[in-house]
Amino acid sequence: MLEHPLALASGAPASSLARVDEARLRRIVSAQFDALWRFLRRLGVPESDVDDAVQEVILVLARRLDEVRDGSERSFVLSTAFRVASGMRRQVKRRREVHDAPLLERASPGLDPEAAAEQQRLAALLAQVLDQLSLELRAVFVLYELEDFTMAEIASALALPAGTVASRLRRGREAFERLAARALGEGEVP
Amino acid sequence: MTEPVRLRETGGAARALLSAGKLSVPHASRQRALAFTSAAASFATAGTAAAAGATSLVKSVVMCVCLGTLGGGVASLAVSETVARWQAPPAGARPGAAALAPQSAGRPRPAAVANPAGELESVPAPSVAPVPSVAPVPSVAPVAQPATLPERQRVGALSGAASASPTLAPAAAAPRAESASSPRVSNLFDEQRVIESARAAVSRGDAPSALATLDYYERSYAHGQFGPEGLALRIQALSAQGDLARARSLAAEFRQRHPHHPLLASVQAAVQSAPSKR
Repeated sequence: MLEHPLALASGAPASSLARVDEARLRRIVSAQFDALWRFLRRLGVPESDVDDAVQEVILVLARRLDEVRDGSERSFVLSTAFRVASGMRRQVKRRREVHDAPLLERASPGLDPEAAAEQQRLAALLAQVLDQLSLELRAVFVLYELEDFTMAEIASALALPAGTVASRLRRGREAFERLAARALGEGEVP
Repeated sequence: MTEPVRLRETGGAARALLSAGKLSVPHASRQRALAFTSAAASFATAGTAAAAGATSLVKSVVMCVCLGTLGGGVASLAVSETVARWQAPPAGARPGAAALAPQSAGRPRPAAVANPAGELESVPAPSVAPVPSVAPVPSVAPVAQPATLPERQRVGALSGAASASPTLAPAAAAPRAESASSPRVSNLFDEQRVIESARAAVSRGDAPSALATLDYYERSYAHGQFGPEGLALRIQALSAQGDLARARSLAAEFRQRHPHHPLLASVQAAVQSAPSKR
């Protein structure tokens, strides 16, 4: 019977290694999943790629699980998500590919067709406007305006100084209001 | 910090747009994420050993991937490579490796995420943690093998009876063409680890975890050395969860691409014997 190849290579049996606390990992993923998924989408990760981005976050979380203190799980997950989204954005730019229209939410059930179409139009405009913000401003903006984080929570989640959060939020809001007015004034989704 | 009033509570264009920003999280995505946690924990646990092994290897790399659940038999694939082989100029990417990547069970294949060891610079790669070197004690002497044995011979030599002997077989047809030699060694460990994790998931009947792990494998190692093995595991996982139509389609693809592969019989048996649950 062959030994496990990793044991062969390392000279140490695998059983001597520190085990990752899989139960804790699963608990964190389960508890933070909705916030993670929405945050990745709101940062512009296309729906076709968001599951893969989630996997990347989970891998980082698993590797560094021992460093994640109780109570700081969400912060770790979201700050990791920000870096993953940032990496994906660079890749997309390099490949010069156009992805799906992000944040195109399915129309809410119960809406009449006209209202559903209007909701879709606004969602597309929202995606357009958010895409024009830098990722740094966008992250702070969406956590505050769409996820209802407090500024202190954002500072903790993204590991930023409070002053930086305040500054980015102010600039993000100003830019968003300007862009939103222009988008609604000019109207159409290309 | 003074919290400003949220824009959607004010008015104007910003409010109109933000009111359309509600997102509902797909249940299937949550299930896929949870299914992946087991594999991620496994990678993280093995990462230390893999990194140490890759660091301390002097002359050889030995890999075994046991596809013990396929067809009720044990098919083992051992891959041996000398460092010289890894450092040799690549003969070209393994033909069909990228095309091999099948569609995952419920979603389109990803386009944006590349090998985590490379493209996502800001995200630590699965096995890059610096680890003190462990004394290398390879129990198998490095043996240089011809680089071009046919696939049947390469894998067949290890099928079934392979477990009895650590005889080294030549590696897959060509090393990855896109990375440097040292990362190749590390990547081979990483690849083996992912495939082994998928195999373990299939063995314990956890098809969702196996499929999530194989998705990760295909995304991370587009020109991976274990393409046929990964595909065989996917076919079995799909069969196990009752997705026979997809399993049979992939089995046909497997037969077309690897008509002489020793796992072919096991693959066919997996799709013939599985009851449809859908």
